[in-house]
Amino acid sequence: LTELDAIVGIYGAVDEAVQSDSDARARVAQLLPPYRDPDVHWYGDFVRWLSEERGVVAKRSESRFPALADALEQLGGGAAEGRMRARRMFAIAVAIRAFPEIGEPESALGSATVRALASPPSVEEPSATPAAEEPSAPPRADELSAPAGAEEERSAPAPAGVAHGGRRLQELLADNELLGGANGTRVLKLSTWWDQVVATALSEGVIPDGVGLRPMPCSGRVLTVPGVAGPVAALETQFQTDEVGFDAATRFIEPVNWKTCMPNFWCDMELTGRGVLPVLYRYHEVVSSDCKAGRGAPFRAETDLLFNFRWLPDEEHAEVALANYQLSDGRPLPDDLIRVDEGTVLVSKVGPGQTPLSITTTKRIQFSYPFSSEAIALIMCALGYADLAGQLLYCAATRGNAVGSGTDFPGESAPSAAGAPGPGAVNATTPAPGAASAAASSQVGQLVQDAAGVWARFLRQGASAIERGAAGGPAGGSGVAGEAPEA
Amino acid sequence: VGFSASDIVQGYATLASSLLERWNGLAADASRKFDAGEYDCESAANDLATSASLATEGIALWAEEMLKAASAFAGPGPSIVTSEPFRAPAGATLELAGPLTKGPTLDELPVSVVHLQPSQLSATETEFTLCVDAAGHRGATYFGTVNALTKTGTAPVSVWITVP
Repeated sequence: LTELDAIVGIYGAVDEAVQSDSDARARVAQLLPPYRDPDVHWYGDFVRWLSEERGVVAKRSESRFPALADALEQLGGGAAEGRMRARRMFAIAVAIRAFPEIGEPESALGSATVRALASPPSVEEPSATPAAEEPSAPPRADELSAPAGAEEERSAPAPAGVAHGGRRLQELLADNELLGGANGTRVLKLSTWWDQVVATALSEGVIPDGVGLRPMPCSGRVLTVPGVAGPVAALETQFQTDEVGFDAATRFIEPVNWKTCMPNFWCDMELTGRGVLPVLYRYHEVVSSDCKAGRGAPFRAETDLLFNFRWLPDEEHAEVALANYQLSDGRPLPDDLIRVDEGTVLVSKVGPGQTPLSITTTKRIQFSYPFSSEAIALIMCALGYADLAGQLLYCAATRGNAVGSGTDFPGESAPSAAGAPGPGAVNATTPAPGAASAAASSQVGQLVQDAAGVWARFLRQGASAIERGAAGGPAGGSGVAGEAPEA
Repeated sequence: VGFSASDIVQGYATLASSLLERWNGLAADASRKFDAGEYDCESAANDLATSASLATEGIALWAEEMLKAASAFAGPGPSIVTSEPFRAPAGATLELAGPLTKGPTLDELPVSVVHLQPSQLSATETEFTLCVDAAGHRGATYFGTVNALTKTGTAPVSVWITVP
């Protein structure tokens, strides 16, 4: 089994735990909003579906993904690299909400977690002994959030650096204060929480660098859209970065690079031909949780995708590099697990220079099992199937400047604008509210409910502030009402 | 002039009640249109503007939240999508040069489902957006050209919109 199998196993254990523990569900929903719906579940169906596809009638307990303890032990066997570091950290942060003992270093699960989060000795503390052999004393409580503590950490010797790094990261990921308050009211946006975790870990030296850690994994927006053949789940991720330049980023859009950037999921992405026009490219895609296991992998699917690539408005004046894809003619085959797979990868300049960039990815996916949109979002999170943006950024950041890295973006210029580019997009860094691409998935009833909830919270806290003010106490309570959980 | 705590609470409650009623009215109207399949780009634009107006009467924090909700609302059906802003000469009349496409021989968004907001820029306006009813179309980024017509000529503007 692979690191990815272990991560799927962790998310699966979380999914099973929250089915019977509403408190755990609420805590997990802080990081994975689809769990706000008390009926959302996926793992049991996922395991049964994959088993049935193999012609095996399996019980839930017969999952081929590892159980929680085994998964953590497996992750502890080797340090994560690249984008998988972020995915491992986020999976553990989620698991801590479902299984609080994972956040306790002295417990069996907790010590396995420390090892799973530890950085390689070579980048942190060359003389350190292995984590399991020499755990360090836990930091004081006041070090967990105070900047002064961070300074002390940097200047203090770290005789058990590896263990300490893992333990400190475990604390940061478990820290509800960082997430927005121990009282359960989330103040921060999830992306802000993640950035703070990463920034703190970096400043304290418990992770060697921040490459590949942004954007936050599983941060895509899930929508249910009226597709060509009926409702289908769509995931959209959009973020801005100044970590890489436009030219470097475009060298990793072509799908053959996906296998290079995330070899533990994209086992194959081979150009197999051209479409009816030369600007259309056909690729054979094989994705798996264990590429080496072939058809014996716990999850494996393959299909053919048709791509086209565009510079906008044209190559000479490029502001945007765009790849669109959809299932190729002839797909899906009757036995295909993937019934719908289409979307876009869009890299656009935000200003006149190479940076900053806006990276947008969308993906519509439908499997041969009728998962709900929320379940599909969680499956995609576990597999990393919709993490193209994170991969692309990681690859460009680590290899973008190396000679021969990536491939030339095979874009055509849009014929209607070629030779006569217009003023182009504003590329506003602060677009008007609501103007960002806004396909809405929210059901109206849910929106009204959310609005009423926000308003009620505002009322409660405002009233509380007034009461305290009238009583001569501090007029607290502001600063929370307007910060709502992310959609 | 001093205010007692009860005055403040009363004013606060009145403000809250008024805003909540108006917000609920907006949401209920949008909900009716949504259920009836009548929600379109025009409805989205109007409701977004109304939401913004309501929100400005509240407090900044609540306004932020309402605008976030309105953003999701503005594309209220799963099929209504709004683009990022594009720039054209002030005062221009805007016309789509043709359908938006995701690539040759592939899916297109016909002119009839693409709305320019606004289609006529004022003397001080230089930005516009696209709004699309993408029901039944593939998830993709569609691109094309908007012609900006002014007294001095026509300027083509490259545009695109991502349909999740």
